[in-house]
Amino acid sequence: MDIKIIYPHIENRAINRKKLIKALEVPILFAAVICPIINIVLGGKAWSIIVLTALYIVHTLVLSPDLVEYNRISQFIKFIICLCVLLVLIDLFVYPYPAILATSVICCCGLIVSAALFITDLKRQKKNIFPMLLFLLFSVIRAAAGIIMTDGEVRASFIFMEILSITLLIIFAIILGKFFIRELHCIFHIK
Amino acid sequence: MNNSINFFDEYMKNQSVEVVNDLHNYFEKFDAHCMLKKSEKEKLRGDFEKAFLYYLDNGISHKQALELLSIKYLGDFYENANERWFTLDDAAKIYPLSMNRGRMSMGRMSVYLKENVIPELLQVSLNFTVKRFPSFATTLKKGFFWHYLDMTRRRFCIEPETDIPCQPIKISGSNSQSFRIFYYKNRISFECFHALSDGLGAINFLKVLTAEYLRLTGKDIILDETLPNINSTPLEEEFENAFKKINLPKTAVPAVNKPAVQMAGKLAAVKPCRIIHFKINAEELKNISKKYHTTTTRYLLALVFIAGKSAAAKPSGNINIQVPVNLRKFYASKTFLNFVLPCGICLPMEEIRDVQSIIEKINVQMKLKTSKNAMYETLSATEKLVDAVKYVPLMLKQPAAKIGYRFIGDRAFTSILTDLGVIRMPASAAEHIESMDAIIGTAVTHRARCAVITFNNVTTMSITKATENSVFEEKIYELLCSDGIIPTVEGSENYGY
Repeated sequence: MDIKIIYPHIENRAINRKKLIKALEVPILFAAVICPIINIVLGGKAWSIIVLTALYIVHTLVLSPDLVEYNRISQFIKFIICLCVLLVLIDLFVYPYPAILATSVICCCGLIVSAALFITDLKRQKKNIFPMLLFLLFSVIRAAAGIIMTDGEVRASFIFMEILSITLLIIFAIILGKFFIRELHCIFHIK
Repeated sequence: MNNSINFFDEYMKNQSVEVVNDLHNYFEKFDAHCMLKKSEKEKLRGDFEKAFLYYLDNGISHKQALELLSIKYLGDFYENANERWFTLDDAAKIYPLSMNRGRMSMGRMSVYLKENVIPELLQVSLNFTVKRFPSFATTLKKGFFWHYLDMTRRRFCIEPETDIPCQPIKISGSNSQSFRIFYYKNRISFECFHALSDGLGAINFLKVLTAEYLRLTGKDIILDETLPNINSTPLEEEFENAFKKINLPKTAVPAVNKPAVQMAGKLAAVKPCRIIHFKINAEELKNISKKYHTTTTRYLLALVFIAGKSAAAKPSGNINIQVPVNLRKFYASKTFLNFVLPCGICLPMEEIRDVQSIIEKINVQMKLKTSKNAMYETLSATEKLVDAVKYVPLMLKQPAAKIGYRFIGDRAFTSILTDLGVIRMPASAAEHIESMDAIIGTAVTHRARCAVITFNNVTTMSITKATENSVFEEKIYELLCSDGIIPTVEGSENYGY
């Protein structure tokens, strides 16, 4: 059976790029397997959980980024959430410290930076409001829970976070107007 | 782009006052009809300038060029704000849920013209065509519960073909294009993510694009009922979720098939690793099928069973071929979205010997499993499943669907055979077209996947390969030859070994 070639010759470059990404995954997978084993064999604190989380963050942010809605806001928010998770895990498994305060400060900074990213490129970014909205809702709920469950300076940080997130939510609703309602309709549709 | 403006400006300097004035008026009208952002607008304007230059260089008068490129064909697509959005139909919901990097359900339709493609005119024909298909002019977005398609008004672009067919499309950007138009020699190819449309929706887009391209090349295209009118207003029914129109009991339980025997051969690192087209005389194929008292689809399905057995990795077990069924034949719908559901035609390997021995069994199963009642059951089960998970957040559904698809998804089937049937175009357009083909993208475990399309008395059976092992396609070729059909075999080189 002779096949008449009717497709263009493909440069190896395109194929090699895919192979490179696959090759980069190998050391990550290797580390993900070997670290828990070493941790179990040597005993002590569960530091391998931190390693695994960090590897996951590298994988999800660098090697296997989002296939849908990959934009500066979604990636920044994803990074902030990953960072918070990592800090909480360090507190729980390796070195106890006031992670709650640290994460609330990071979330507040994250809210301010992502809001700035959103507003400075509003025409394009208004279609990327979903991650921003989720982050705001998450912040409102988390801050409310923090206000109820903590006291002192930690509570103060949560009060600031609550005020900040509600203010941003109102600002976005005013700026976007009808489009905000339309986006809510799209985002929460169940059809 | 800048070059085109420079060339165009240079060209204008040597033209008569009449030509300059006419073109000035034309681009004034263009500006009034195009509200895209500056960079997009410049690119769109550049497309028309290039087309003008092409016409003028080829001896076509500026009056004729103005007529062919008339602003009326732009419609209001580039004028209005992009407020529309579309929900995914029930069959499409799984595609964005189950995709991952390197695996995306892609489909490709190609049309082979009798002359080489002129890129300048193809780009303009796309600029004119896209307004007729708003559900294609969209970007996939994430919702809290489901994905959705968000309409995007931008300049959609064509590309020269330089990559492997059916590669995942980058849909992650803010205003990403969810389809691709490629050109290579005399071929125009339309590739799109399955979430947008099924084969029939895609073929309609390609038909309109091709007819518009032919009109721009100066061919006199007389429209008929086989082709949606490019200048008509898109109908709401064309982007409805047709599944929701059917009153279903939601009592059926989704069937979970046992894993089917897979074909042998190491899965290639780059998929598809080869594309093969068998071009067959449709009349001859019909006659052979008649000899076996069956239809061409069922005859080709029998060949797939026999070739599948020859290429099988195990000596026993069931070969199960997935056959998508077009639901439009049971439930009237004009939708360009997905309105197909699969059925599985299954035969134990020991029963598969030759075409004659299995054709009756295939006839019986096809009659039963592609009947309206059977499809009603599948529809009902699909609807029930969609209903059951509709309140589950996407961030939970997605990982579950990915794992499920990876381990169950396509293992239930050995391969797939989809027949898009006989494609019709107005005679005035068909005379400029040689043939068409359809390609389905690869899945996780399938080593070969088949698509069939018939146009201008040429049936093209395309095989998408995911392994270097060539037993499957060689057996199909041998079987066709033994029945007296000598196909023309075309295809791609082996990619990525």
